[in-house]
Amino acid sequence: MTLLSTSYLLASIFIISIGILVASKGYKNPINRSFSVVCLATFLWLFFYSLMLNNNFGNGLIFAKIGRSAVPYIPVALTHYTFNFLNIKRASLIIFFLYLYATVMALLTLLTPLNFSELTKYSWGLYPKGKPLILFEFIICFLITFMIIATLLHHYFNRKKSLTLSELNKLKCILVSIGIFSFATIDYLPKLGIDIIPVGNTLVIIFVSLNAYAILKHRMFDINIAIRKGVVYSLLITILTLLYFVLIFLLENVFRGLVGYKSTSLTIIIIIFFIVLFQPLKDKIQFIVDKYFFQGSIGQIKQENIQLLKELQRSERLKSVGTLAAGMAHEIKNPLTSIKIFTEYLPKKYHDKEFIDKFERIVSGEVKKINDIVSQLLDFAKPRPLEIRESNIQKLMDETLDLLSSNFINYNITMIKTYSAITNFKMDPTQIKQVFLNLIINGIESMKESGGTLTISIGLSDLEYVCISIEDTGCGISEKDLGHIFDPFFTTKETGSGLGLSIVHSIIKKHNGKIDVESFIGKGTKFIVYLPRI
Amino acid sequence: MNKRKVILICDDEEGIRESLKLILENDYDLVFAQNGGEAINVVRTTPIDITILDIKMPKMDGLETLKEIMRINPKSKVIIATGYKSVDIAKEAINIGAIDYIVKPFDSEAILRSIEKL
Repeated sequence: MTLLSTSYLLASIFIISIGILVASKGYKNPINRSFSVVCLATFLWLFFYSLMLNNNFGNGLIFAKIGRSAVPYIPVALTHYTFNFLNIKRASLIIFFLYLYATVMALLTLLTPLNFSELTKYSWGLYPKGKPLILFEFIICFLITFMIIATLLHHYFNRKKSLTLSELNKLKCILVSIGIFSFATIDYLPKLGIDIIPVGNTLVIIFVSLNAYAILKHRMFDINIAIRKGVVYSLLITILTLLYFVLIFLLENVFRGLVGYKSTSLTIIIIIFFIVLFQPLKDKIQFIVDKYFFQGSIGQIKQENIQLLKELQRSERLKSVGTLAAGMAHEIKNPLTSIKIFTEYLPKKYHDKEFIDKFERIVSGEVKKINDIVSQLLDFAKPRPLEIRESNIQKLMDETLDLLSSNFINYNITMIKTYSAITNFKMDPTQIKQVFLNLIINGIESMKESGGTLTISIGLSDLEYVCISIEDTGCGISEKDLGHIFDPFFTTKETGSGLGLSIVHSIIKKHNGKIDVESFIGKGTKFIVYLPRI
Repeated sequence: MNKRKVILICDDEEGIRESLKLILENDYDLVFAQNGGEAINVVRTTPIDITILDIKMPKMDGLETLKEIMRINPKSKVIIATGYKSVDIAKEAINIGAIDYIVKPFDSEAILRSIEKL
């Protein structure tokens, strides 16, 4: 093996490992999928070139042909990956034609001598001797690469202000990595007779390293920290375990060579010794990998987590504001329309008693509606701060149920209560009562037509959380709607602002709690609230 | 004398139904529906010339209702009325078969113009 062929081989193994890793962690995500295709095509190129560089003229040509046939797919898959990453839709036709081009080029390379039919011997190894088709492929590859970089730059400068820090970092990362990778087109030069050592393998390592960095540092493919824990460490531990076995085997052999016979007891002693050594060694490796390879110091990890959390909160807030604005605009436009039309007709129908009656009823009703929407919106947008004090959750629930007791009789609703013993804990009782009120009203509304059972239970989910579940046997919520029930202004009811559950969600979040919901159409809905016992 | 056209007004808000009634009652016969289901029942049983349909309604939204109305009678003339100033919704409604699209808050002129065009 020459140094160059070894570097090609190592680069190919590296890139295919990253490709498999990314694919295994989210094959359904188009970004992961297209990145894996880039890795696969690059792997084939590098792997077969490593064999070619090191081989004789006969087999080398076959390896070169296989390796070369993968090359046209690399810029194409990179385009696909970039388009997916930038969420550029309506480009499927371009992608289709690019893949078609790559397939035609691959077939021409494999089956015809149009691309190349012999190898040239350079001082550093064998390399394909290109024919005119390779010049055409070089130009196309150059144009595609230019298009990718131009698209990325266009997005970078146009969306710079609207992107979050994490998104911007991802974009920078992919821009730099593809920019560097584009220099791999230099590898076409030896094929065109210019004696220059191919550097594609080195650039591939940089490209993959930067993307791996992006994956782990900026969660580019939504692969979270679990990869580190799950994959990297298991790989390291597997290698370590294998090393132990090799060591045990070697030591046994040495011992047998010295003493002249095999000792089972010595093997056991060695195994115990390594078991004892294993845990601290594993911890040490984990620490070193954490510190030097992935994230830096613990302080940096904390800092990054704080930043990520802030970004997440900011984007959620912006999303809520957008949803609120859209919902509010729509909700207010209905009453505004009625007010507008009725005032338009007022001068003409001033003496029409029926009209005046309707005017009074409808216009004042619509004004009240706008007022309610604005008040609720203010409650949601600028909720009052928590007034935390020690309160009894069962008492709060009973008070809420008392408020609504007439509804249970009117709508033929049976109530089942299960309270397990819980000491008082700190919360904002008024706001928690609001949560109960909204959730129970929701349950009542869903059982209004045919009655049912409302089951309320309060207990401990673990030492830290109190669990409150409110379950009805009403109409249930469809799977489609379930994902939106906490969105402001989302409602499936005839009446109602659609703010009730978003207020519930907001209050629980302020208490550092969480809310889960299970629902089946025709069977009912169960809300489970978890509140920390602060 | 020309036969008066029948207009179906489908909106879950009473204020909107009453407003449209004010605008149209002198020149047209009106039928009202409070939700998509009611509108579909009306279309099945009564000959309707024009339908004015709200997009955002509980249970069955305007677009779903529009699809069903077009399925029952592909020649139906439906005007969509909504608070969303969204091109996507307008496009979707037109693709399904709506003839026009009015954004709330509208005035009587806009409604009359849209209907007279048909």
